[in-house]
Amino acid sequence: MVEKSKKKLTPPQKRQRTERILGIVAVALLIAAGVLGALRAKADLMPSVLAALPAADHVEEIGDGLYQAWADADEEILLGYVAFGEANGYGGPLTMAVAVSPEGEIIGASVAASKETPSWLDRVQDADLLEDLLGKAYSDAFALDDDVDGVTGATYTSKAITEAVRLGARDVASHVGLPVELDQAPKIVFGIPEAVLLGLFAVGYLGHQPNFKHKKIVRWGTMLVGMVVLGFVYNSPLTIAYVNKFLMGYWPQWQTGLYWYFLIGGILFVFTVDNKNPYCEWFCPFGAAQECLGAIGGAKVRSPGKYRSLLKWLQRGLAWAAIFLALLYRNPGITSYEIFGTLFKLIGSPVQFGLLALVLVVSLFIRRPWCTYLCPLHPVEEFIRMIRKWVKGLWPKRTANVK
Amino acid sequence: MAEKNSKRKIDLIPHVILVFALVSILLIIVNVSANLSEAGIFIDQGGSGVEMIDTATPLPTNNAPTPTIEPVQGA
Repeated sequence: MVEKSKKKLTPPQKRQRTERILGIVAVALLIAAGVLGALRAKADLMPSVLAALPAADHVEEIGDGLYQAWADADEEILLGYVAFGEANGYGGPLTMAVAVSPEGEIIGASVAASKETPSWLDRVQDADLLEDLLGKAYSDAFALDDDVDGVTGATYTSKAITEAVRLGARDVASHVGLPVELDQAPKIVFGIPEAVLLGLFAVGYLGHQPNFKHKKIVRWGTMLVGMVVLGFVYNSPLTIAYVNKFLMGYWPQWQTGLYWYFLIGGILFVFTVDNKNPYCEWFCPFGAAQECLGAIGGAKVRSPGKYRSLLKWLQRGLAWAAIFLALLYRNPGITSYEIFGTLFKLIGSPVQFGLLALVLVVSLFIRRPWCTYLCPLHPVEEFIRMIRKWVKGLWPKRTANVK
Repeated sequence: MAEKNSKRKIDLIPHVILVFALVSILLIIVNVSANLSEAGIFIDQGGSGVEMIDTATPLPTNNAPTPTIEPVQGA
């Protein structure tokens, strides 16, 4: 026993031990950030009440997050009521303060709290969606692209704002005694992106089988479909924001978030069962875009030589910092640094366009430079792989002890 | 000589990759910092950590005079 404990570790074993220790420390810090983030004080909501109804001269809280707004300090002219509605946006819960007239008509609204990426929220606020909501009755359907115009390229944020305003308006109506019909269960959303995603998973799984023929052709097929459908048409690639949302418990309703569950659940399932990543190599839209450029420029796998370890740890550090800050601020999308929307929807800051240009140019000569050196999902994958290997290594020892 | 040239060419690749990664990471840091400050998250110079400010963003309204009286909280 003593001899065993003194046994000298080989360099790979030492590296493995270091990685495991660092992995545990990293996770412990992430848990601490998550707890701290959850304990942070909630923002004062009063400014958003005033912003929802700037004409109000006197506002009074009448309980349950409901405010009464008067045009005068003597409380003679009642303007309406303000309540809060919350719905799930791209980055997490989005809260709207909604001002409603005594007759049940929406007369104002403001964003009380949001986890959306600021530039995307600005995009929605600059569009007509917000004006469309004014004058709607609390009993209206608020169907996006039907009653209300959604904002192209910011669908999740548009949906969240619309739904939050609808819920806030209904809340006011029920408090002031207006007739409110019970909400029906949301319709199950299963459309082209969900069907394509399931198809890609199925083909990706088959393609990973050792006996599968035509692997190369099928892989190019899935990559192109992924790039066109999940990238250019629906702009729904997997980002670190999804991982953050998963960790923070900001899970969407299953009826409307099937795509999300298929994507995260599918990857985790295949990864656990098969130890293969079906997404990155087979249908990640941004990976496919890089490979297409690589095919044009003749890109090859280039070795970073003596910088391999440094680059690996830089990528891991970047991913860890992105998750850490997101957990600390309870804002899944705030540190999402992927440039997928910049390519697929041409939305982004000048810095993001600069980064995109750099990555695309380098993709002509080096195979998948983003995936290899920058993508935050790669370290997440490595971490899951490490845990899987660790647990698998413990399992036979336990069963041996039981025997 | 040709072999020597080829070796020198190969040796450049790790440096190119390093420069690419470092420039990209710099751009990412600039972009994320901009996102954080846009969301009202600033590093507090007093050293007590970070401060988060939630700004209320109004929807356009038809007539919006500036509110003049402080709100009264509580029923």
